[in-house]
Amino acid sequence: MSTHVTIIPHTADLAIAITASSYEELICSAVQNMFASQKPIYRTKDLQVERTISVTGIDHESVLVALLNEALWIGATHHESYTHCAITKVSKTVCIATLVGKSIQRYTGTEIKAATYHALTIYKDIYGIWHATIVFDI
Amino acid sequence: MESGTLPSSSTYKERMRMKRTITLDDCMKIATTVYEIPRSFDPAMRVSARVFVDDTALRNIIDELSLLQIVNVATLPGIVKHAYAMPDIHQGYGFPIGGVAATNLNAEGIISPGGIGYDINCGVRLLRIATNTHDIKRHLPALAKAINAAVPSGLGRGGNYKLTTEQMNAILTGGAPALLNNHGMGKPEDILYCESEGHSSVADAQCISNHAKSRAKDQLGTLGSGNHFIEIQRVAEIYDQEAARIFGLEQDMITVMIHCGSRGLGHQTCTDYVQRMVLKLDSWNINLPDRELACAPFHSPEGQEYYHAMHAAANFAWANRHTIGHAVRTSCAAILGRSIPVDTVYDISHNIGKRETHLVDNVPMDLLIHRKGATRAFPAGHPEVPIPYGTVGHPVLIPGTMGTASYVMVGTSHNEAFASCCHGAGRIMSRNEAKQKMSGRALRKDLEHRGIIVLCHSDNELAEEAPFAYKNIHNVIDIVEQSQLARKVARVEPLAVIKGG
Repeated sequence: MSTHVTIIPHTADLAIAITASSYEELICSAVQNMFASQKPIYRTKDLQVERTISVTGIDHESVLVALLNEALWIGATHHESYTHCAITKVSKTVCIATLVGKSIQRYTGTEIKAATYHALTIYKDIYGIWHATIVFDI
Repeated sequence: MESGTLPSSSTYKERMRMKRTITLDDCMKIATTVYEIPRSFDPAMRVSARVFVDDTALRNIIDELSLLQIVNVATLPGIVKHAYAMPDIHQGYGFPIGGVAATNLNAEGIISPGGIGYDINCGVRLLRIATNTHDIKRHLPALAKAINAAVPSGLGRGGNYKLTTEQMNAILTGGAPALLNNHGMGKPEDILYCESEGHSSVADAQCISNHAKSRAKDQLGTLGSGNHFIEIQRVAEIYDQEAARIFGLEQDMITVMIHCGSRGLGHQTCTDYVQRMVLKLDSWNINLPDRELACAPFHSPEGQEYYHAMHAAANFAWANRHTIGHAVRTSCAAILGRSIPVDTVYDISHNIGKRETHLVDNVPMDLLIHRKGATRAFPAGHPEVPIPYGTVGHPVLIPGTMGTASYVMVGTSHNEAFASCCHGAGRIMSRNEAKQKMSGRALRKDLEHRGIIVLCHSDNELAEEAPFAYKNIHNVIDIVEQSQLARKVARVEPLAVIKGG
């Protein structure tokens, strides 16, 4: 199945719900939608870039939040935005991912400051579908 | 792949799934504008939660999560008296926006990065320009354009300064005074009229990660995006002549309000320490209803490191607003001439944790005051009020919306909420809802029709911050006054709005 993302109403911040057929897809969809929501304008002449990031945690929730925040950091530091994500290794305590994207001129959407733990849920339902709800501070 | 399981470290997911709801019946009316949610609502509450709202404002937030969030704050270890929510309360993450919590540092008191926020020391600086509405009218478009050109704004754009490691560390250690002393930027009065004189001496640059430093190396003097703005305003009404005189404000005078914070450096610092603390909650035997309330015992190594890091990030924020204030002053000199003074009225923080002494049950107590979307409001005679303002208290700066008004207030000696006040109007509508209700283009036309100059590249960004997405600022200010949190000094109204995007 393909991933599905919906925006959940939130007074001040950005909340999204994601469904995916695997934890890996769930993570990648979260990364891609986090960057897409900021509406990047790319530098057209620059080549594609790849960045590999690695995080640790104590459970699925902490690994996901750590990965999203590491992706935000590397994007902000290099002025890049990422459209693709491939997971090299993932468990309940580790995730290594390669992000693919390009340099940006700027974003036209609202800045995401961080992925938060607030109301964060990740679970696999009885049909094997993964669900997550994530609130981003904007 | 295993299914997601409940983390052993806490019961936060179970608590969230209980779908606790707060009804009007759970809120006890203490006074006309004060409601209390008692400890009996949730056995995990260590204190009751007090919310400064009137009947209408309470009904407007009863279906929101913000009341549940302030109840969650009331469960934090070491919290004393009450968990408070200011009149601009609205849903945040972990803490509600407008949340105030004091933890006892002589007992089990904690420090919570989420109770301070990702934009550490986000705040407001108000400048006054010694001219009036009539005299500035023909210069206004050029002045707004000059400020817009001098202050980089928007997401993903770097600033005019590329800091070396030494320069970054000097700012993290010294705050705004480092720019005055090392680079001659600004005036000594800019420092005097700044909360904590624009710096914290407990800051430790070594507690800030390289991640955080690298994220902000080109962000000094930048506005950012979202609800950050620069406004050129006019003083529309004076309510307290004496306080206004002391603050140097006169009817029809021109002011410039700057709202921004510590940029990526603050965001990364909060992120770093939330993650560290989440991983150690078990070892401290701290059980939270929401992991975003992640905290550490204040005197633990992690608590102390975050405290020093947070103050270093606060120093960066003061330096950032100082730099923007300097750019505004330079722009004024270019457009209006060097003979027109541009002076700082005050610079106030509204996302910060401060160590303060307050009376609790008539006993002085050493407390960490978390203010998340809330300001200080120290009254006359308080030692932390700048000496020239000593007889009235420091200005409390409360931005409204780009289409309405903002207020300058002053603290009162009757404030029961650890001398705290609200920080703005408070959102009532999500950004998506705001965009659906009115396009940025239509909003821009509406504001321009009302004589307000709008400089914002992004129609989307503009629509998200539409005035109707916020509570009525005048109602919020009335509640502030009725609750004796602060009293009105002056109302300022926008003439030009400069926003990122």
